[in-house]
Amino acid sequence: MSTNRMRYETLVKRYHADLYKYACWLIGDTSIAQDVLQEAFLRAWKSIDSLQDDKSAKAWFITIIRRENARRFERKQFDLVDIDFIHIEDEKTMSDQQLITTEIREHMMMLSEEYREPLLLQIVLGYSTVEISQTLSLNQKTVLTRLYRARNQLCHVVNQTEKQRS
Amino acid sequence: MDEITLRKLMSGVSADELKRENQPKSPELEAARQEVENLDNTIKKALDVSLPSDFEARLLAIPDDETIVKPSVPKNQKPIIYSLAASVVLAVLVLLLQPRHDQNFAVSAFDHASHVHSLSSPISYNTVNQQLEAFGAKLEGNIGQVVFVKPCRLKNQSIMHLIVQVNDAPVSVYLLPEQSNELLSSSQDGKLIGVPMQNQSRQVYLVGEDQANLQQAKQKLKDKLSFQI
Repeated sequence: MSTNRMRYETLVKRYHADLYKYACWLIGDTSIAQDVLQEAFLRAWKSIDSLQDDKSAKAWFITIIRRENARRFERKQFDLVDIDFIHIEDEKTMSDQQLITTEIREHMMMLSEEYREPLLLQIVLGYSTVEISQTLSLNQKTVLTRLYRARNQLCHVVNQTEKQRS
Repeated sequence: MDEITLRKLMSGVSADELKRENQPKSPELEAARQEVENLDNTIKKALDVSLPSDFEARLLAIPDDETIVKPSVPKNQKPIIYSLAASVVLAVLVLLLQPRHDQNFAVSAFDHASHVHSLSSPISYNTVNQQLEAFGAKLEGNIGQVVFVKPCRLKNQSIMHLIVQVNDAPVSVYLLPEQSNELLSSSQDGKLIGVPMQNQSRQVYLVGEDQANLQQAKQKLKDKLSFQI
């Protein structure tokens, strides 16, 4: 097996699960997320020589995925969101935790992308605010404000759900 | 606790970072930090998405689909590379005008199929037709459970590749592009069998392990697969 092939396989195994989660929540549709991720990994494989250091692979993949997602909108306007993975089961039969989970998932997709994406990078991929500001080409203060507002909205959802249940 | 500290906590700035910023370590700050941590854990759990069982295999199979890797070329060597590329293009054009040997396509098709026949996630009928639409094809009924649909590159052509489960065994269906001049014929390599079919002047190549399954798939495709004219 070639060195490039081994390197590619290591990167797939290490990052594909987190990147899939990130893509699902960025796009709001699991089928499209799978397509975008497959295209992104194809691009990554084709240009694997340009990745100098595997330590920066995660940021490299994120850049490719974001570009691939942007290309999708250049090609066609999509009527999203058909979020097939949000609902777990009937509300009446849900436990408190399941209800909170469903509410968070619904509200996550209601957040505008400018708030949702920094939160995804921080919570799903463990990015620091500095890394987020570099990835999204934003001022760090802007990132802090967006993270604050996104968390605040989800915090409100959790509190409201807990109140309604009690 | 002041508003700025609370905002920082809610932005995911860690307690350690706040300490470095000389924020006093108060029980109030600790309680607020704990609350944000709990919220983050709840959000993290809520964002869990189950990974399709064969997704990793599909990503790992990408180099088999696309074996051409562009090596990085220093800028000053590019003119030489372009001249060489032009010569290669000319040679390829001459070769393309020659009659094609159909065995090559079967070999590529067998090799490709053997890498992806392990996939097993069902794909919805609508998703299959969305992919086929870009290729000018359409399924007008059920041909069996489709578990893979993707354009692949085989012999430098973009070919739509479907895998259909027929009697619980995978059958690869390759839809060749309209302008393809491949001459297809039946072939086998000991394990896999390949059979061609013609559908509305478009060429289709089926690969599987069982002749009966191939004939069954062929009949279904004749009835249900149509191409835009």
